[in-house]
Amino acid sequence: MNPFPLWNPPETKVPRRPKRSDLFANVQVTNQFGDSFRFHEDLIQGKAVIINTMFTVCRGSCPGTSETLQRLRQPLSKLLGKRVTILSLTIDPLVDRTVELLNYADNYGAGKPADHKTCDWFFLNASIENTEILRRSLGFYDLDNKVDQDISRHASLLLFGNDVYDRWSTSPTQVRDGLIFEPLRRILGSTFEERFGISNQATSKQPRS
Amino acid sequence: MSINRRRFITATTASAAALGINITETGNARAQDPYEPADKGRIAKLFNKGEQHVLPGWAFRPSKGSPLRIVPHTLRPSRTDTWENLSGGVFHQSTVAPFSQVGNDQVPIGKVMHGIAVEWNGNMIGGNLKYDHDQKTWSPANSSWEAMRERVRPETTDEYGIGDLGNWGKFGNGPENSAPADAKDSLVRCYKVEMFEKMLPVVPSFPPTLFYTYQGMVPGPTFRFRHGMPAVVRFQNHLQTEVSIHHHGGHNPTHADGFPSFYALQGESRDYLYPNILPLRINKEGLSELDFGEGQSTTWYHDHGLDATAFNVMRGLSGFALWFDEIELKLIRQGVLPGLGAISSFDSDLEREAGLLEAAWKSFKEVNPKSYWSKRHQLAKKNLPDPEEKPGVEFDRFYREVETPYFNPYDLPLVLQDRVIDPLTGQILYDSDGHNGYIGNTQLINGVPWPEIQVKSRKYRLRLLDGSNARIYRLRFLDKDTLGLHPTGKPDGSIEPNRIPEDRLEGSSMDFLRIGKDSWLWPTPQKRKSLLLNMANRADIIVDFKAWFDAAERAGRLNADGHAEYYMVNTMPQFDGRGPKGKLAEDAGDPNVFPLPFELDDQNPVVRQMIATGQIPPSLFGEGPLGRMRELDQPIALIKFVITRDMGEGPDATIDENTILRPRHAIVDEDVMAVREFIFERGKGAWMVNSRFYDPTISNASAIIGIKGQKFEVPSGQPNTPPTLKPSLSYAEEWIFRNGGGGWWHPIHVHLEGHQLVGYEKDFEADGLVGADGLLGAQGQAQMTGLPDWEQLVSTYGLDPLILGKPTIDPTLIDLRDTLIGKRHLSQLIASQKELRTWLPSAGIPLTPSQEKTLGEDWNLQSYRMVLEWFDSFSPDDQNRIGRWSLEQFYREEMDKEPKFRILLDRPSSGAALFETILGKFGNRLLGVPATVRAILDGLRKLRLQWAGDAIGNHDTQALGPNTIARVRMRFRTWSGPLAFHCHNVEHEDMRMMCNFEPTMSGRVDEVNRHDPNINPAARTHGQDVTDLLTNPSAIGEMPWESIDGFPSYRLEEKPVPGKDVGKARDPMIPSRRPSKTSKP
Repeated sequence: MNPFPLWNPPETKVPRRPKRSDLFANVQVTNQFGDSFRFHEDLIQGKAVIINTMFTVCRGSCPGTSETLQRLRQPLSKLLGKRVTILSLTIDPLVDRTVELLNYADNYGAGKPADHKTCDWFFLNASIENTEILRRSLGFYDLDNKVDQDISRHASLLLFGNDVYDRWSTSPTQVRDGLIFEPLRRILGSTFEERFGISNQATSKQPRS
Repeated sequence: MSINRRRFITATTASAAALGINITETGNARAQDPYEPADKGRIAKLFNKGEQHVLPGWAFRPSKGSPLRIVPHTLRPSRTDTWENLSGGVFHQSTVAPFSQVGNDQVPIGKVMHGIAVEWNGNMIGGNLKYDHDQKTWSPANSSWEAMRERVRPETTDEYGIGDLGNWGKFGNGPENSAPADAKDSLVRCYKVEMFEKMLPVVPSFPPTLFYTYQGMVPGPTFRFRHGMPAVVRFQNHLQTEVSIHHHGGHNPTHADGFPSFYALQGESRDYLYPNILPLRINKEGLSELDFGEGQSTTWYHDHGLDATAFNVMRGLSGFALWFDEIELKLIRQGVLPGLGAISSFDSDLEREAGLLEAAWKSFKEVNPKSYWSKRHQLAKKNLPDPEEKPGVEFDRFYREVETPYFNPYDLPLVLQDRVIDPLTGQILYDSDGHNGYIGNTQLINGVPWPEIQVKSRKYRLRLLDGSNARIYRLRFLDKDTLGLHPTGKPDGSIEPNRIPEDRLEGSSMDFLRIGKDSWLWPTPQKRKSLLLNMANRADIIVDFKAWFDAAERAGRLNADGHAEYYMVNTMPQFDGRGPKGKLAEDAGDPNVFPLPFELDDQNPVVRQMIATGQIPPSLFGEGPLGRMRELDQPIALIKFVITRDMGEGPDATIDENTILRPRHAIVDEDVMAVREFIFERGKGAWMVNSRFYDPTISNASAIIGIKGQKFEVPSGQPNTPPTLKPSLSYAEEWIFRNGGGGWWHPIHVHLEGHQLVGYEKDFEADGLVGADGLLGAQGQAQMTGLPDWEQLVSTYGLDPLILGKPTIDPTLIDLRDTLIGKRHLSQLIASQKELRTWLPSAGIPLTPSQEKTLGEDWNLQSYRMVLEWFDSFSPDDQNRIGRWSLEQFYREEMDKEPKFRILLDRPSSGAALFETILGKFGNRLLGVPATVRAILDGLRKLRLQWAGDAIGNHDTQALGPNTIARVRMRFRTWSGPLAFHCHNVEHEDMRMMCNFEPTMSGRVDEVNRHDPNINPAARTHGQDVTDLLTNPSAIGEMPWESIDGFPSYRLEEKPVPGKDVGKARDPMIPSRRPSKTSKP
């Protein structure tokens, strides 16, 4: 289903341009409800997503990041509805199986499939090998091998993008919510109102005040 | 999918076959879509090119049929007129449409959605001030153009006798220009630049490449600005991304400066007003005069959009802006700098406006009667098409080459950029490499990969710009035999250079004169054999191709056509975005390396002395020349110069090492009003400055450490808030940039002003050479033998156990490289932050909620700093109660020996200084320290910058090598903020390694005020804090000032940007249009 009904992919005479998401791995992932997806095909292509990495027993930044996402999920759903999906990829896939992810998700209000007004929040598990491939393809790694191998020192970042417009950005999570929300809506949104908060009133012929 | 797809496959198969790529092996997946998942491995491989010196076989072949030219065209103004005529006096009452001849754009200046710099309407608090020459004070001014001019009017002319340049537009009344000043009063040039996507052929055998372009060109069109002559540039955004155009190196008001969130939105325009004025300085008599030392030469413009800069610049959004002022024009006119003398210092448009064209031509004809001139005259007169005109370039938007103002065939601006280009699709691929930095394998020079340029046997000026996202270059010039490009023998037809031993590299390199760094010319040229170019740095050099040609001829190296061939090569070993490798160990902790982001003279007497006396074993510095980083033994060739025997027209330039180019006024200790320190470090997978991520709404350089000559006293009644003081307009400050470690290079760019480098030091603490406690650390110990352990030192030598005491706080949780006193103090006083949280209230010191929250979190540098700042803000009684001052006594004694303003820093900013302090006090007792180590430390500390050219000029981007500290000084003048400073590894910048500063008028030493540490609300992006939309949805984030005084908002619905839809970029919500076909201006 085209999540952007107003946007019709144009007929092109040249091959479609490359997209940043072309580099994302297309591995098999499973969410906290046991549903399986191909990461690139099913979750990225033509969609708006927020991606982070986590593991359920993390005592560091993960709980904070998850709390932030829980807080942002409501206004985000209000603004963009089902068009955006939050994807939390576990980087400890041996421990974080479906059950663990479901329990963890439940702590943050994602223990049940989202209703029609709320955006989906999937906690994803992939095989060890696929997790590594996926994590690297998304840029969640450190050049320093020691840091990279230590999952407790993983980056607390949000990678978010709108594949339709090929707009991607990344934000650290340990800033105030407003500073995350501003780029989220700017990158994920489709209209001036969604992106910049310019109301329809403002974009009409009326002079703005 | 369609016939077109099949056609494409046929075409790419053919081109791939030509490149020796077998695309049939991998089966159908690729045939369906070159980006199918099955193909990801192929794409990933393109990003990893270990052998960067191996070039494709087509490198250095002339690229025929490409509309890209090696020197970008100069944009033609659509109208040049007086401000009064353009605006009717007040811009928002204007009815004149200066862009009407460009795509029938009827919208007057300032009436586009994003308007014009808000400073010009007089409503910006603190941004619009008038200097009262009688009272020597600043006061709010009205908004008229005249008032704006008055604000920067110099009181006196300087030794150059140039006149009242501050009276904008009245330029050129110097002795050698006969034009009366009044005739050209207040001329303003109006340019229009449209940004749109364009497919450009980069590699002839590849499919065309999609770029984001300024006016359809990569790099964007060149601006040629005259100092004293303002320009209005209407940037019209037809891209899918919001943009903000930063004029890098310019001295512009914030709304024309490209603040990261001052966007030009999709489908909208923003009018940028570049006043093009010189800042004022106060001379010895106390009078203000024009600061010619800040007169720019080579600047550039590029996208600066918040958290999308790296991608947008990578896609092509950058271009040159060259500046000409009376000093430089005089040098060109007199034949000192390369050029066509009078012709290259002449702007025919201006002369035409003044009615002086014929007379000027006649006079030039006498000067230079060569064929060139008559050709130009005829072309301009009859408006004939230029025979050099290339397809694809709209010449009504650009000057034909010979018409270009200040036309100079011997002046080549060259931007160096690396990209990853997929041979199969021709498209640029992007990967930030985990936000470390984008490194490409295809070297583009002015958008052309591995070009060949034919030059004459004479001196040329090359303006080199590193426009790459994360690549650092060391550039050399080698002759073709030394480089020796030859086939690798692989089936793909690739070529590679000879292996050149490092000790031969320097000797084989050709000499050149370096005349400037970044935007500014140096006072005098410096002879060089190589140069180091960091991201966003520029290098102005003079290359004597005549001498090179003669050398080649003597050595019998001319090619079959009788030409000499030379290559510009890059010898910097860099394989990821972190920075150059080389002598740096894998984790960049090698303390023997002193990574200099500039040239250190090999003849440095101190170094030679130290080697001669055996103080430094040369082996400690590795194999390469001292102070340099190791270089590639197989250089990466970038550009080929083919030198003909022909000398070209006009006499050769006379510049040599003794030429005086441009004055410079050093900022001395007494001028420094405040000192601030910024640590650039990695944190949480992103990038931080002083342990903070970028926030566009706060003014970071506001927390005060101290002001000149005194410790800052907090007014009574507000004891617990850290005092703040923003930079003050017309005063100087010293900023300390400190690399937070990890081996990354961070080129730090400060907007608004050029800065002067006063110190570049190795951070010995960060290296581990000096420990967190100020004594030799793990690395230092590792190099020593027989040194007693710390406990033994204490007992043997009676050192202060507080200095040597092990911190009781987990050292991983705080930044141990911070103050000595702070660590001592805190380790004694508190075991953890949470303890402090309970302790402070119990000691009678109330906490605000935010402070309590900060303390409730884990230890971090920010809270640590906050605590330190609190101590300063407490009353002496409280301080005594806390007990800081008694503990500090030793430290204070030592620091009193430093210059006064350093004390205000309240911390030793480098391990070297600290080490020196310790050595000075306990040196006799530190018998175990080997002489070698001490000699290195001493020597390196002395190796300031006396011998490096960087110390004598201005910069706008200061590279910060691994574990180094740079001290820069700058004056803040003319424009209040907000303005940004940031790391110019643009991936780091996007990941929040950026800060704001906001110079104001009210923060002078005699009237210290408490400043709001937030960005002035009136100066904010959209008039409001857009980040507040979450909690306050009614705060609509658009800019009220854009419809100031209720002038009608020219929305797209009313005044559509003319033109047709771009089919493939169609968007129902945010209109994206192809810019109109243009007509003649």
